[in-house]
Amino acid sequence: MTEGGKITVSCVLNGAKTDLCGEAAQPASEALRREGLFGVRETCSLGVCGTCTVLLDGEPVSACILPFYALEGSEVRTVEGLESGGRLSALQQQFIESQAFQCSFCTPGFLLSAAALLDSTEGALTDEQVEEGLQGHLCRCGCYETVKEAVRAVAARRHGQDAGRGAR
Amino acid sequence: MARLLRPETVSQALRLLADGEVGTKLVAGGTAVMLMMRAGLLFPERLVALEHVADLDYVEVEPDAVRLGALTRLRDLERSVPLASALPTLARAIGFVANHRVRNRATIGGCLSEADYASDPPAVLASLGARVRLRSVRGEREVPVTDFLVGYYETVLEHDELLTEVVIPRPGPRVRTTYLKYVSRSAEDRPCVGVAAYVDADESGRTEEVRVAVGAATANPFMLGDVAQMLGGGPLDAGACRAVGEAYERAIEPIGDVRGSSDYRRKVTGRLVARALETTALSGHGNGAFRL
Amino acid sequence: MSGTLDDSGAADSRAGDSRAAVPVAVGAAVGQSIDVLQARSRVDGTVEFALNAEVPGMTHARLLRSPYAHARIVSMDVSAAERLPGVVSVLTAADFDRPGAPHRYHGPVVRDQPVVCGRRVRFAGDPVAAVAAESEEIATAALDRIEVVYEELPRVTTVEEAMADGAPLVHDRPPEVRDHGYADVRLAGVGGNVCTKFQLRKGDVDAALAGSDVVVDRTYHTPAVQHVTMEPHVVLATYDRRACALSVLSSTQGPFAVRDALCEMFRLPSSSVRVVVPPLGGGYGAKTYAKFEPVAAALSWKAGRPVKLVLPRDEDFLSLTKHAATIRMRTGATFEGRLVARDVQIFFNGGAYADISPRLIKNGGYSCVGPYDIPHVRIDSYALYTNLPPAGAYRGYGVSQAAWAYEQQMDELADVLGIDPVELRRRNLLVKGEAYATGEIMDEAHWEALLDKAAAAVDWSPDSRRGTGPSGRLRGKGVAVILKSTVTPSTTHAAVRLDADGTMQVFSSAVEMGQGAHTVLAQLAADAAGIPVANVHVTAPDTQYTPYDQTTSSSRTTRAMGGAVTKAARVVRDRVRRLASELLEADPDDLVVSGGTVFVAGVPSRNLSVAEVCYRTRTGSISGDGDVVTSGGLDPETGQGVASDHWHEGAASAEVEIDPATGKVYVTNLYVAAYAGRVVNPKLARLQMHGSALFGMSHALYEELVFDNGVLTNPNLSEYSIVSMGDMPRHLEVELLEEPGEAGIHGLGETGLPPVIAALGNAVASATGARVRQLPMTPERVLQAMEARGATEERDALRGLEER
Repeated sequence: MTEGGKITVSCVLNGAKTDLCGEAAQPASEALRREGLFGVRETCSLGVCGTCTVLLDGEPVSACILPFYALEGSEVRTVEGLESGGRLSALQQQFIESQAFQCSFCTPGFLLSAAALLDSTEGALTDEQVEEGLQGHLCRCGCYETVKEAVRAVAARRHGQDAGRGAR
Repeated sequence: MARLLRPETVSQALRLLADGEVGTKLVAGGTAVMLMMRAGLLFPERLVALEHVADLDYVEVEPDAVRLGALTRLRDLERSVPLASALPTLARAIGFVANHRVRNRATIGGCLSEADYASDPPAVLASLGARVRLRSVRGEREVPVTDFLVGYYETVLEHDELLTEVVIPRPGPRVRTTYLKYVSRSAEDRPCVGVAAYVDADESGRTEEVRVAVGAATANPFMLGDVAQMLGGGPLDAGACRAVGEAYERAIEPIGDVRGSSDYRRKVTGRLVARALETTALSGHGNGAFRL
Repeated sequence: MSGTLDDSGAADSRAGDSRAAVPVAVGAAVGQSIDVLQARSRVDGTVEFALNAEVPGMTHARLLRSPYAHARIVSMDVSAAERLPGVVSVLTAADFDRPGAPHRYHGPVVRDQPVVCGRRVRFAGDPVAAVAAESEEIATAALDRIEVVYEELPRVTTVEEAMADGAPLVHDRPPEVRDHGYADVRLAGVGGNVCTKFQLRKGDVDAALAGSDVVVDRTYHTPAVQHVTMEPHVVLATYDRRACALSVLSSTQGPFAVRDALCEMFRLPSSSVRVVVPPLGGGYGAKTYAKFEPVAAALSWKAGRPVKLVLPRDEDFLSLTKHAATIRMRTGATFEGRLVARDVQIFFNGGAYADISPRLIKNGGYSCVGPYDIPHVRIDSYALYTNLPPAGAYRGYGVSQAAWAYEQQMDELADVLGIDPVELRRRNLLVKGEAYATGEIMDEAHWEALLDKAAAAVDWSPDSRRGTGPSGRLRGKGVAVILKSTVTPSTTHAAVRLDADGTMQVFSSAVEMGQGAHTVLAQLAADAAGIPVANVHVTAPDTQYTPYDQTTSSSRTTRAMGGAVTKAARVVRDRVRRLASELLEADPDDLVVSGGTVFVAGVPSRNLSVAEVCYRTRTGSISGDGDVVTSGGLDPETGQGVASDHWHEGAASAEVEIDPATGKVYVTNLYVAAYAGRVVNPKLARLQMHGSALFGMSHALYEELVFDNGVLTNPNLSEYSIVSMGDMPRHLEVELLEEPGEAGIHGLGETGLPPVIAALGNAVASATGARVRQLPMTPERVLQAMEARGATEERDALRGLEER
């Protein structure tokens, strides 16, 4: 599996056991797009903008600078894997309601980092917590306010709290 | 197309390095290596992926020192409760590196071995007097971080050596430390200047040991060796902080780029050195890291 | 049931008046914050961006670019690249000499831009060859095998260098103007490195300046910046040799501008060139005219295979920039604070090719008057050729450069006069019915209300402009008001088709690039036709089927395309009423169509569904079309005439804190207001304002393309800094000024951007007492300005000012 040329990695991709073939040091983003996961999009190709974010074992990483081989044995989630049973997650639904996007090219990255943030915290979130959790995601259309609003609304709702409480 | 090798122990990794094959590149988290490969700056023929190397992922807090396994991810370090309690400034500063996605992959050993001049941890580690442990099949050696980093993206690592551990002496209870990360453009930017300060003073304010390391402005963390001597053991009052700042301003030869010219960085270095010392010694905010 | 009653008479009688907005039909949809169309695809990763497009037999393209800003191509050898396995075709200038080859030059106004360079390169990044290969990796590898020998030529990179006596010429010959260029663009002043010049003359400026009590004379600078759309330029071109037809999928804002450019280039009729536009991952002006469609199409023509070109980020940085500008502005006023005269020379750095500079510098020129009544005005606005990447359309379109100058100058003048800046503006703002400097009468004027709101948002008072924060940070406040024109003349068509089940297709060439154009068009169409918005589908632009539209730009789509769609939907509704009149035994004029139901006015129980009407009259579908055509134009000698069909009005205020040690500016409070007339979708409208505010902040503080010997040094998102979430002001507030009644829609895409930059400039000057006249206001420049002020504080505070 590690000898020259292409390698095969086994991973759980959006919940399904998957074997992927590719070059060891190729960016994981390219391999995932080849699988038809077009929610993985490159903008900066430097790990700066967050557009190509995927969750690797639950943690956000930049797929543009993630070597393909690192997918081996891991659980990989892309934006296509956020819904369940054909139903959007509460976070995705709230992004629509809060209009947390314009062109939406960067949206998958925001959603995945926000999902990781929500998974790793409990209760309502302050603006500062959301900013910390979504640091390193660029949106050129300028939807930062509504993104924060959407994430905080979901956080507040999951514990039946008022979305306005954490406002500064 | 690079061949991939995946050692599972340190000795396997060292043996691979020792075979002398050209075009071998060590990869830990891969964030820096991938950037260089994508930029066409690096064409390795053989990648030695360290991810599965056992026993290099740890934070050990001992009475005299804190030991960080080289393959510990930055994200784990910033979240480490023992590290935050033993070395709060370092833990916070590690959380300032790049963004959470990079920190989820990048390791402390990779961060130091890359020797990026604009990274936050090197200056803090330099101010703490940290050392790195380097191993090869020939043996091992321990080198102060300040001697380990020798140029832009340059270290003293031999081709067969692996950085396995970072050792940070535990500061005494009187010691206060501060890190200021100053970015001159958007909050996502790399630092224009970073200042790490270490102050050991007694209750009367008499200084025993004062160290200041400036990052991102020169190839490697910039330090003047005789700060405490400069103060003559006197108290670190506002005037003394300014005087140290001025000494740094006179001595440093900073780079100039889109984040600020050399002259600008020089000026800001002087002011932020003074501020870091004031913050450490006078404000009661010691032991923290702050973004400016 | 809210009524769609009814403005058809008014609409018809005003249809011939090009300056009147089409009255909005207000029903259940308009004014509601409905979710965007196809919202689900926006959050589940399935939006069909051009980036995802694939067709059978597709090849992948890369461009070889000049490393030099200005050079002669001595020789080029592509044979090694052609021999590389997997390379399908290599395109060079020589291919265009073949019989039947397409034209090698293109450009929206002036055909001066080569598809690939022949004998000469004019900027570092100018394409010299294009490769199509079986994979992008192979295409990239092939670039290294092309040997080009260059001989460097003397270059000009700044407007000062371009204007200098004996300056090297970027173009030797006068540019070739397109046969069907733009009606409002008449090239004037061409010569040397001047691409084109615009001038405005009103009154006697020299005499008026001489008679002014005070004159402020300053020069302001803005840098080249980039759009940084998250999705790069993407083109998939297929040239069908047998059919002599070209099909292009492109991330363009101007499907018809691209079609027309390709028709000219390949000498093909419109029917043989098809341009299809999926949703864009951001535009902001970057994708307004033909950009990389010509090279992808030419490569497909040569290769005989489909060609897909995706620009890598560093090349996207070279695609187009916002014009760097140098603005010398002199303004004379009376001691009472009445503006008397303004004299402006504004130099736009257009880069190597004209692109849309000839039109943009006209807007940037006449906009230097600002929303003020100034009796005597002289403006000379120049587009200069330089050896830099071409500059062109950018959100704000020349106005943010102009406003940076005139709104800073207003504060400088206020300081000289000892009058509060808000008060000085109030004394000079244009009011309804007054003439702008171009002579056209302002039918609307809301600047005073906008200014008052902006001032109130930062608790403005003359003595609270500056202060010091608890940590020693310097605090300051600033305001700005601006006006912005829209592209005039312009032409927009739309068509709709109501199907028998009561659903409707809107055929529109408006590009959806995140602004929500398709959603607001659906809302407008639904209410005009009287059907639920859920029953409306808006098609993507496809020049083979959707009617002509000039471009999706200039904040014009909601008003212009919205007007055309409204008219088209009304045609359909009227037809439904006529069809239903027999069934409901009522006069068509007495019938109301609303919510998909036709009923007799006042007797809602006498009703039929639209579907039922179609079924019972054996109607399969009902089509209607509509248009909005505006007219205007300025005299090339005097700049008098009609500059804009209507005007966008905006204001901003800002509060900043500055660290005196570093000079870094922290924005604590940002407020932006615009006159909206009527808002179609509040949540989308507000986001347009947020976007403008953050673009403005980013330009004010962070963004600058840095060139070294004409070579761009920071073409990536690490070295080029854009505003991020962590930079957000503690308070960001946007406000839309609406008017009840039949107010027309005013676009909001750009209005908020220029005043934000200027308001931040004024806030920084308030805080520090020192003015930074060059963007961006980096910490270093702020510190330099503070130190310069400190050094000269005791000297004449009015240095650089003439006082009489």
